[in-house]
Amino acid sequence: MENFLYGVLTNTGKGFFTAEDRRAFFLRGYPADVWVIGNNERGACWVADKNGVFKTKSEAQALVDADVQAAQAAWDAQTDEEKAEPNNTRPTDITLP
Amino acid sequence: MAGYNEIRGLRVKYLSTNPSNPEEGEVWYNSTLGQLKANVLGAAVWTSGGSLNTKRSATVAGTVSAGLASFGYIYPPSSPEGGSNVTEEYNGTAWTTVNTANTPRYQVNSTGTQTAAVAFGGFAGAGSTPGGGPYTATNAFESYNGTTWTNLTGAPTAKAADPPLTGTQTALVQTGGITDTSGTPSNQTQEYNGSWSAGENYPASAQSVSAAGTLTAAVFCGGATNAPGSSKLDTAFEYDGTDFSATGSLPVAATSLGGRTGTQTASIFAGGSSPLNNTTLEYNGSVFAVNPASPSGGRPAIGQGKMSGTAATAALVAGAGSTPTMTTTEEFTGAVVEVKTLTTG
Repeated sequence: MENFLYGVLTNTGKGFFTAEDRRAFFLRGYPADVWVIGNNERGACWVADKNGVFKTKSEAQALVDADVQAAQAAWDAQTDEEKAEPNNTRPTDITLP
Repeated sequence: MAGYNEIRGLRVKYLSTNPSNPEEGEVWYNSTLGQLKANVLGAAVWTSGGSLNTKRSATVAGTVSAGLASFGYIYPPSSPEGGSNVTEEYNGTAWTTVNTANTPRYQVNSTGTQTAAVAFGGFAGAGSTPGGGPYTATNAFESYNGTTWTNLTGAPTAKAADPPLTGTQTALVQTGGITDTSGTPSNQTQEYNGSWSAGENYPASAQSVSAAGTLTAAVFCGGATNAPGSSKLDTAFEYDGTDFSATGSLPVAATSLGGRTGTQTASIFAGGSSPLNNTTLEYNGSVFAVNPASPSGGRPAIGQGKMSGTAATAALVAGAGSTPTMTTTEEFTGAVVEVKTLTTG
């Protein structure tokens, strides 16, 4: 069995993930509303309860890549002066676990 | 093997209901339920909070139940692009937009409570180009009383890049930071206790250093010695209101670790630069240790200026920086004693 599930879910704010959720399964958010969820019954139910859409790992990675690449293109379009601003680093690629 | 009686010097209690005052390590038999139970220290956890109304890299002050998010940079497609003076209050559930501050700016830092906060520094723009720039570091210093922002006497030195500061509205210490848009980090320290005065120079010239505690009992950690933030530090120093002294180091060099979440002897730092994006660190007055609780992330770094709380057991982060700018909030709840069933039957 794979270790993780992949889904697209919109963070609705308070109660989106609770203390019980965090203790029951792994959860980590990424750009493009992609979430990596521990692959157990509670994790799968959480995705369904939140009206999430399951994705394969490659589909989820493609969504993250598209978001990061858009951000990288926006950064590349900045002037040299803007790029030199403190803490304004080029967005880095993200590899999902 | 030693029994409970030898370990605790007590016999297991025979009770009809669970004890009303939880004590860690306490063991009892619940005769009503027929279960052996214990009070154990549960795990700390990060949970989702209400989302900001305006997507930006705000600075956060206050507590989990009474938070304050202000300033920050608004990136397109949100508008108007540029440094912001938007202010929002948090009630533990939702953010509400309230009166704006006086000087729109970003990479600001704030401290204090929802009804007695101050915000210092950042980049303020002339508003002559899209996005409000060109920007320069500002010494702007404003106080918030729960209703309105008031301009106070500016600090002696303008600072930006989330200028590290900690303390209260009336007694704070600020050190490091960047003094212009392309400049090198500073080691200059300035204190405020109703008026500004100079403090001892920070042991490193650094920006995006994180801080917790008070003017006379603070801890500073991490940071970077260059403007891009790539030359990171793992060092930490305590400040007693007069001198800096070295203390335990971070597990790895990192910037933008949040802070302002407790005292010099009990505080947490979370997020920050890679590889600590999803890491929570605890500081106990001498050592930094990793807490198993992990923020869910979904942001480049929780980061300096976006985290606040009154104790190491309750903290708040909201918003995020440039890629992507976010509205999400996460709340940290430290470990608490809870009842665990050991046996049934």
